[in-house]
Amino acid sequence: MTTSTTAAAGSLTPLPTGAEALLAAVSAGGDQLPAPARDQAAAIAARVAERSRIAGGHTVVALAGATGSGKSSLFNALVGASVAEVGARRPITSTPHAAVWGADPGAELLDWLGVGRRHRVVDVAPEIFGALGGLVLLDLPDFDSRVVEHRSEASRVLDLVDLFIWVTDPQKYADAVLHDEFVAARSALAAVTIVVLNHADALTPAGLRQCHDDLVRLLRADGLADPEVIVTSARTGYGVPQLRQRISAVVAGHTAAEDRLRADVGAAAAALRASVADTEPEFGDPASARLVDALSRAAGVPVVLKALEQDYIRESVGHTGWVFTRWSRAFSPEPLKRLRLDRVETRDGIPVGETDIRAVLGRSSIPPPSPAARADVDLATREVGRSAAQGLPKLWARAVTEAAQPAGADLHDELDRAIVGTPLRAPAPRWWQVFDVMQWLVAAVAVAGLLWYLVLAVAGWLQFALPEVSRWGIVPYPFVMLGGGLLAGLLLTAAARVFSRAGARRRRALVEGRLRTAIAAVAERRVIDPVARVLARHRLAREQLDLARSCSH
Amino acid sequence: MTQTVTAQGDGLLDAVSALRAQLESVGFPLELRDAGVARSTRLELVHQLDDYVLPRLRSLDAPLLCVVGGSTGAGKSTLINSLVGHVVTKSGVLRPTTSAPVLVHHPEDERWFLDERVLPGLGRVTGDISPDAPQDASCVRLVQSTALPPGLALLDAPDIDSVVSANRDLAAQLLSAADLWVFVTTAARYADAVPWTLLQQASERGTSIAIVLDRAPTAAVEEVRVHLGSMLRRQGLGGAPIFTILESNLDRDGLLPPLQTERLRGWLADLAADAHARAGIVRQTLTGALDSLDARVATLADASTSQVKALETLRHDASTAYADASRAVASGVSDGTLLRGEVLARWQEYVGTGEFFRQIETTVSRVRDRVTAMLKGQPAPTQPLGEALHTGAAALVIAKAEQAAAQATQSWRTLACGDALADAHPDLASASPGLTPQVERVVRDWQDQILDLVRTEGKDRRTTAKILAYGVNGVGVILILVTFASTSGLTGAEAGIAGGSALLAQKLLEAIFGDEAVRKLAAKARQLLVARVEELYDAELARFVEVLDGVAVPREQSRALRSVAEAVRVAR
Ligand SMILES: Nc1nc2c(ncn2[C@@H]2O[C@H](COP(=O)(O)OP(=O)(O)OP(=O)(O)O)[C@@H](O)[C@H]2O)c(=O)[nH]1
Ligand SMILES: Nc1nc2c(ncn2[C@@H]2O[C@H](COP(=O)(O)OP(=O)(O)OP(=O)(O)O)[C@@H](O)[C@H]2O)c(=O)[nH]1
Ligand SMILES: [Mg+2]
Ligand SMILES: [Mg+2]
Repeated sequence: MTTSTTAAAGSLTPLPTGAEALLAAVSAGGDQLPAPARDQAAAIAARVAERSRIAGGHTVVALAGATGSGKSSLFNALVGASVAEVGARRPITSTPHAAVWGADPGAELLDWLGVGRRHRVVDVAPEIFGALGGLVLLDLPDFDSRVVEHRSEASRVLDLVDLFIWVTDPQKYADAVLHDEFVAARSALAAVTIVVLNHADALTPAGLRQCHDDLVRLLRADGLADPEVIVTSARTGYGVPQLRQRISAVVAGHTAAEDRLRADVGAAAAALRASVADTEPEFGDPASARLVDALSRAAGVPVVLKALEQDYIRESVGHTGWVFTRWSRAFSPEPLKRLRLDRVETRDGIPVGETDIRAVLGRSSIPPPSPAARADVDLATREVGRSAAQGLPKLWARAVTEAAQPAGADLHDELDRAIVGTPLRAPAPRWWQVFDVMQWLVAAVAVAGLLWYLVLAVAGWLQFALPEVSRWGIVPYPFVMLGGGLLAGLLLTAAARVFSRAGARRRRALVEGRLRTAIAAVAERRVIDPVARVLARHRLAREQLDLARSCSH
Repeated sequence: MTQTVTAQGDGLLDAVSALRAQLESVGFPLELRDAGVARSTRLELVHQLDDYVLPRLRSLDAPLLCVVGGSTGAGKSTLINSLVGHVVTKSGVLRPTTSAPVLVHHPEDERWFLDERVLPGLGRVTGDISPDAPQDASCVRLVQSTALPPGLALLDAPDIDSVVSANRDLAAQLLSAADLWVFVTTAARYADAVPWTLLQQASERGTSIAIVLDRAPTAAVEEVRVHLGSMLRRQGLGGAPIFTILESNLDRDGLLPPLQTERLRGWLADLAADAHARAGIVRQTLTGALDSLDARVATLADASTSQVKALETLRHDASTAYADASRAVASGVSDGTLLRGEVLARWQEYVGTGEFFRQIETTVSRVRDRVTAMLKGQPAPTQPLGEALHTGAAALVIAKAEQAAAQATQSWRTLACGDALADAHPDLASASPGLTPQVERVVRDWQDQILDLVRTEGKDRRTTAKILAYGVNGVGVILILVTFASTSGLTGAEAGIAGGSALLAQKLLEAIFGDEAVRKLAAKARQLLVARVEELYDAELARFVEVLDGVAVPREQSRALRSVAEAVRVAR
């Protein structure tokens, strides 16, 4: 017995793994797995844990079948005593009856099986008929009589046993109940299935052979690859030793319990696998680029960029424009200020204006998205959902589509915060200072030239004699200074205008990149990530189901 | 049960025929909870009317048809062979053996069974054919035997409970064609669930029944017989005679010893000889069948009502989704919000950079070109601002259509029948593929219409010249802006952004057309768009309606069924 437990423990390793994988798949799949199959899988995983916990190394074998097939008669024949009631009335047996071979009474196991009527058996002549120590043989109620409680009790116990013996007879061997509702429904458990054709004495040998072959054909049709049919007669004892030997071989193998549970795990995993696709759809770039476009428009990025460009040019004029006309700037509007993007605290640490409550709240004055822009976002998220749901089973596809649809109102808030949190300004470009200095310089030269003329004029009026004004060629120097200074100022302004257009475009491109990154982060957080999470669950469920299936082979 | 079927004329036959004709067109295509039951009830009813009630009403004096039915291996074929005295139908160890019906009758009765009076759905095979020949389940094999008295025929039916489902269906059909069920069971079978569901049905319908307890072990025959008797009593079948046949050795031909079948044979012979008793059995079964019509037709009528109701719910779901979408577009257009965002920015750009005024200048210089173009009926080229409005409105219309399609399928999927339909038509979940170009065309047409509107409005006014100066298209764009903005006006923020330009636009327009005219124009333009979008959405909704129309549930099905059933009741 001790050797057998260690052997069982050694070979049991894939079973817990499989059951755990099944459980993991169930929890990963959640509502996206069809409820009945999911519940059954969870029940099987729980059963594996319970059955593995029960010590004793017993093998539970159930005699199941239609009323009158001779389950109780066979049970008595195997036990070697008239333990179960046998009779001509139908149905007879209404509660399961257990016979336990070996030293261990298996009380815990029988409690778990919910079998109250128990009988201890002393193994007679094991050297002849094979040892049955560790066998728990169950005589079940029928599953085809009018008494529906019999059927439900039989089904309940059948879920827990290690080996099925379907008992049938020449009258009932082709019944729809036996094949469609019991054998075929458990055909995945073929490894732990034995079929007995009882009442052999009722037929001639030729008839018996025909009947046997026909039964094998029907079992094949049920999905048993290599059905094993033992012919018996409980009345004459024919075939009972073979049946006993077969059971003894199973008991000695000590693998029936594990085989059954493994087959259960495999079948449950296979049943669930149909509601999971083979791969996750590739989704992403084109759909998410379109999404970022739509979100940008909804967030008012084009408005911001336009304002930014104008702002740059305005600032640029302030630094590089002709010194004599810079004052006019005060009358032009400040585009960023109008959007309340000017004094908001950014990562650059530009201080918040105390007077501006909306700025303190971190809200811009960018107009809320139009229904059209919102509609465009809607279309884009739908597109993401559609591309991510490609090829997924119905329930998963629905989950993906739902995940891709963020709730409306706070999305706009989040977009707005993304824009407010993005630094729009950059340090003043170096060329502004150069131009500034040059503008002041040439302005100073022009003013100096003007002053020179003033001095000359005052001197002329006071009739001071001053030295002859030196000339550059034929043009007097003060005129060169005045005219040249003014001209140079204008030329510089013109050049600065060209530069600032280019600079504005560069600044626009720079900030557009930053804003897109910020918007993309929102898209990621609100749409892409939720979808990816569903797909990740799908992948996990698929991988765990495949693992569970591979553990059951 | 006070009604009998002795003295009705052709009135009852006509009424039942009308019911039968009505059943032909009855269908339950939607997967509702009661649809499965209704479908099988209808089929059963059709079979029973065709196979039994109508033939029986047409010829009350036809021979009594006794259908021998029961579980596989119960010994039905063996019993018939033994009653006839030689092998007329095959028996065997393989289950199931019989798969096609065999009808044994006296030669004098041939005319009653040769034509399609009873069991019109099945063909006839006659002549000397070996019982071992391959069986054809679509035909009744007729066998003549003088061992049976005239006036009574036996039919060997396939089993009711084997893996071969065709046998089970055929057996049910044959049993419903019987004047008398000879129900064969055995000591091993008599408590099986399957036969008892049929016995229960027979009890409810008042069918005449005789029970044969076959293959009874000598030792336990009394015990089993008593048990069976009490079970029959509890089922309300206490009046049915039980014939016990002991399990005995069969002779070389596989026939039972004559002693075992003597009682049953005698009972059948008495029945055949006694016209009064025979009529009693026919009357009992026929009355039972007619009595059961009401409840069964009521089942069908109820199921029809729920089909129509479900269809209405589905139709309502779909049209609600599209009505919501239309409303969303209408409010999107009229609450001025479409003006916001990008459109506003473009507008600002358009006015703020002086482009607008530059445009006025260049337009003045091109007045002549435009006048010519207008006379030719060609609209002036679209401005970039018009394009923004255009794509905005188009996106709104398309998105709402997508949303409506998703919403409609989603609400369909909450019902099992709708779920099946949505699965069958997966393309319903999104807008139709041709919608985008269609919407774009509609919005473009709409803009053209607005230009036309401006043109006709401006024709008789002194301001035509001014309109021309701005460019008809420019005015159109302004009008579109006003359309989107006029109802609720602009909020302060928007006015700030636009630098008052939208208000400016309105002022400009009012200067050209006058205050009242602008308002009217704007309302008209809005109406035009909403009307066109509604048309588009109707076409989208039509896809759902088409699917529902494809599900043929006659609206009047329920009422028609009830009225023909009422007619049968009145005729009795
Ligand atoms: N001839 C013959 N009779 C048998 C054989 N096995 C059982 N019987 C008889 O068949 C009848 C039913 O046997 P049971 O053992 O009670 O059958 P069961 O399958 O336990 O029936 P339920 O308890 O009602 O489900 C009894 O009368 C038995 O004597 C057999 O091999 N040959
Ligand atoms: N010994 C014995 N065998 C019987 C008796 N009645 C039937 N059998 C055998 O039981 C088997 C089945 O009999 P059938 O007459 O073919 O049964 P059935 O009800 O027609 O079966 P299906 O055609 O499959 O529905 C055959 O092998 C018969 O020989 C009987 O009273 N005594
Ligand atoms: Mg029993
Ligand atoms: Mg037969």
